[in-house]
Amino acid sequence: MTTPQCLLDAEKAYVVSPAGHGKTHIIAEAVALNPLLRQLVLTHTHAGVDSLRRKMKNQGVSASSYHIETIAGFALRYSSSYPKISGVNCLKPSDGQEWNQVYEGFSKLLDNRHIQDIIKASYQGMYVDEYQDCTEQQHNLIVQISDLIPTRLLGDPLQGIYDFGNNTIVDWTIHVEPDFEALPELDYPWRWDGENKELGEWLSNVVRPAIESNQPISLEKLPSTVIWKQLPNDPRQYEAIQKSVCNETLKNNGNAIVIYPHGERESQCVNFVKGLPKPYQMVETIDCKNLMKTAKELFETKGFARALVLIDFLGMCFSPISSVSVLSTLKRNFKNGKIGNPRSNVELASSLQDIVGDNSLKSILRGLEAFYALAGLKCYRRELYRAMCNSIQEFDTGKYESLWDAAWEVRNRTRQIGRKIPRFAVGRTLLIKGLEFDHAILLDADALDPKNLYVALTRGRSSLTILSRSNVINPYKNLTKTK
Amino acid sequence: MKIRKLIIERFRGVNQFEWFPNADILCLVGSGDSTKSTILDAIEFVLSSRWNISFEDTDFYRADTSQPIEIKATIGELPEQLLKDSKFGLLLQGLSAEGNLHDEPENTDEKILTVRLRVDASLEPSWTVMNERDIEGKPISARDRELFSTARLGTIIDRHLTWGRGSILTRLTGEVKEAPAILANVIREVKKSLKPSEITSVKSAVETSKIQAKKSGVHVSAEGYSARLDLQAQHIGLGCLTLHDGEIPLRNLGFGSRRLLAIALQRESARRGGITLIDEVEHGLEPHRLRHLLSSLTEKHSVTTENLSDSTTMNSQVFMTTHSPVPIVSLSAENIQIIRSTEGRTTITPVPSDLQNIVRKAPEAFLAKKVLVCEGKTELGLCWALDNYWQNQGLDSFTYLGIVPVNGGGSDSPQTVKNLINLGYDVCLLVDSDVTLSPSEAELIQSGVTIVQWAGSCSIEERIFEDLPDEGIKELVKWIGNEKSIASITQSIVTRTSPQLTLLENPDIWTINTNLRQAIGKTAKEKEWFKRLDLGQEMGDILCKYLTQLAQKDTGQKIKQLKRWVFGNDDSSMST
Repeated sequence: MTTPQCLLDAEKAYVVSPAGHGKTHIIAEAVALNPLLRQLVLTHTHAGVDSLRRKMKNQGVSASSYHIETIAGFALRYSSSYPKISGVNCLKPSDGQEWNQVYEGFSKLLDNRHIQDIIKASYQGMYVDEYQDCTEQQHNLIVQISDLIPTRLLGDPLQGIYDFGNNTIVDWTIHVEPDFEALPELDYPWRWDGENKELGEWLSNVVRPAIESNQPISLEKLPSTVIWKQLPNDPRQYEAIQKSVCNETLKNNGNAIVIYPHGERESQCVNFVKGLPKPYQMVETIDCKNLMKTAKELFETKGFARALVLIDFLGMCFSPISSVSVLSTLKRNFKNGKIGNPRSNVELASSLQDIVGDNSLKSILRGLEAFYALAGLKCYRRELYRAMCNSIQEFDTGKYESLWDAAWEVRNRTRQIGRKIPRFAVGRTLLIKGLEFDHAILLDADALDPKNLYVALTRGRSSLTILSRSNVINPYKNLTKTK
Repeated sequence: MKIRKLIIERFRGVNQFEWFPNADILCLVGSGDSTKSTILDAIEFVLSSRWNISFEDTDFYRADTSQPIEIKATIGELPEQLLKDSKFGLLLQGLSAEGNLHDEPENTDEKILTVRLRVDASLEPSWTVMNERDIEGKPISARDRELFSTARLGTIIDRHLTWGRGSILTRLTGEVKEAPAILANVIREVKKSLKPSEITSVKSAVETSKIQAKKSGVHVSAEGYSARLDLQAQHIGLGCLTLHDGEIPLRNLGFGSRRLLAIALQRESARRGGITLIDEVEHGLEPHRLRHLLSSLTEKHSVTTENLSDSTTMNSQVFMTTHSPVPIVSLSAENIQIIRSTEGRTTITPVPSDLQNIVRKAPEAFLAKKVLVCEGKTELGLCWALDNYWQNQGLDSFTYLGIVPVNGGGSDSPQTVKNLINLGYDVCLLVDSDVTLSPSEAELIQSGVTIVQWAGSCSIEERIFEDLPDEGIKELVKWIGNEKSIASITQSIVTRTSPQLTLLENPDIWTINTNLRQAIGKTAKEKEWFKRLDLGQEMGDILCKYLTQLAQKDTGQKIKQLKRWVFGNDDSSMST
């Protein structure tokens, strides 16, 4: 098996690292081996950055010996610093096309002798985590950098579930294997070492080989920490069982991730979380369309229209238990051009009056806060809610042209520094890949394609709860549906 | 590390200054108020590793604090540490071989960074690395500025012979590992070794304190009061560690020696790249030591030391000022920078390489305000004679007036004059009229040169013998006859008379007429009677005796013209 020393010594190599096999751990150990060699550690997602950073901290790796960033963030930081050479004028890329420009620009930059010197001066080596998520374009950049500094790629072809619009994902056999030396695959399931060894072994010995050879997965002989719950034949009856599993989970120690089928639309996931008990929080997508859209609308409207946008936004963030009636009353009033008098809360009423009366975004912030006080912890999209509050505060610094720009900056910061996943969270595989949780619940295992299924099955450390119609899961039928 | 561009705005006497230093050794030469030291100060401050520098209102140009002081140094041959993207790698600019500055570096450019020191009315200095993409810039810490290895070797250099913060020795040392712990131990030992009981004279005061303390309710421990040394660790730091020769600290050495050592150490430490600033490089040094120092500074990168690989190049730059001709002679023209300041605008001009002859022969010219360029040795001798003559009349000396007469080197003189005027000097050209000037007379006058040229297309010798009264001619011929041989001189003159005259070898009895005057002039010119500095000066001395009688002649007119340039249009001096 590849040791940290092998990894550190490699000049241009890759390691296949199945989920939970200590990929971040070996990176941290290799970095710690020689703290004087500062390493660039690149990954794809905010979540990945977060978990790498935590791992480094836990291992006591000196913070000066590494720099962790997303590939996107890294490319943007360089390209926007040299706009003339890179040709990148867009400082806040928001769609695939703009990001393409960033990558193209970064590629041009990497041809510049001085930029090469900066990279060589800054880093004495590079690790790229979650390599399976690279687009071809990103892969080409990594190849360019690999000519400058020792480069080691870690990833798992089985977990390549990233969806970047029209971009094609790196193909291990075509792109990686010819140019990079293969180091032995990581073969010990560390995530389940100790008390839950049998789950680790089941994943390594049963699940992975089955998926690698396109075989259905049998749930007949399960380790004791894996619970299978049968779903009824009628999908309309799923929700009751799913909710009761979620309720049960609240009794467990540690944190839990509830994995929502990736094929479904976001709004369905939102609706599902809305119906769950208080502690459950929605994991937002990083581009957070709801935030960006609302920011734009708030900025472009005023008076009653603006108040209505705010009320719709509040409706997105708060579960209906107590607040829905207040909101619908308010909305009715506003539509009729009246402010009305939300009887239970003076602060909310006065801030809404201000929103209608003046043009300051500050009063929106007051409205948001007043409503939060009113609805309390029944906010099930706290990430979205906070991002909006932060965006308004950010806009207030005067550095932005519009609230949209401020919101972009807030999300960009999240993109760069990562975020904390709430203790009880609901999210789709895409948003939680690379992360580990104490408990993982697959709400509908039949709806996942092979790679998404593998990712979902490998998230739980202590327990795994699988909901499906039969005790044999056949993910291959979903392949056409999602691609 | 090298400064490629320097901009100073509103700092002390400099309202505006922009400079592209083009050499590794730069010797700033200029008169007392030319803001030389301000430029060294500016470089020192912008690249200083000090945490803070205290500024006053008077550091602002005309003490006007409404706009900030800005000093911008654009640095090339950068230390690698600064290139990190977490430092200033993302703020690089480029400098092309042709000297064009690109805000983003092109492949063939040299990579450069611009450091800006800004001081506004709050008097708080702030250091940033900036460019056009990021006008506000990114702050650069004192620790990072230390990488510029800037050392000022002014009048206070003892600091550099200690291991204090930012000293040259500290820089040479690199990391000091064990020293602080050892020092702390020494302090503890010192404290212990002093027995309080040994200092008996303070005993009663200690006793009184104890009694009074108890009386006023201050608790006194069982051990009681005593007088002990209070050596707090921070007072005895690395700064107290100084270089000694035997028992003697080097600060007891002569100033020149300390300075030589400090410069040599800085040179050693600057092998890794650094900027050295030397005020009045000649200070405290005998000419031969100064010459040795300068040659060691300009020595090329051939030397390698044990700890450095052969490929190490001399990555350093030296800025110095001087008031002595010695550095000017020892350096080549490209190292000498003429600096001037008028109305807050400071300009600096490198000496063109075709002035190298002046650099060698008359280095004083560069220290002057006004330069009197003489066509040859005869004219130069004459000028010296005139200087003496005018001094004897109670006028100011050339030295006092900041005037330096130099030998322009014959037909090169006009070009020399042109170069000097381009450097901003007030120049007068004293030249024969028997050759055409290149650049032309008109061009020279256009550019502000005062030309003193004898009338009638003739040489200085011909002019003098044309104009002198009879006695003057006789005196000159007799004197030159003594120098050479009156027989051969008479012979030479006779062959040049037309129609030919018969002359006895006794000038006293000659009848001076036009024929004879022309023949003597021709002989003097062709036989090079005065073409030696001493002979030229002696001729001048004799000429001066007859100066009052020459007032209506061309010689007198031209000397008057020269006098006007020397003393300015001042009536009191013109009356004589």
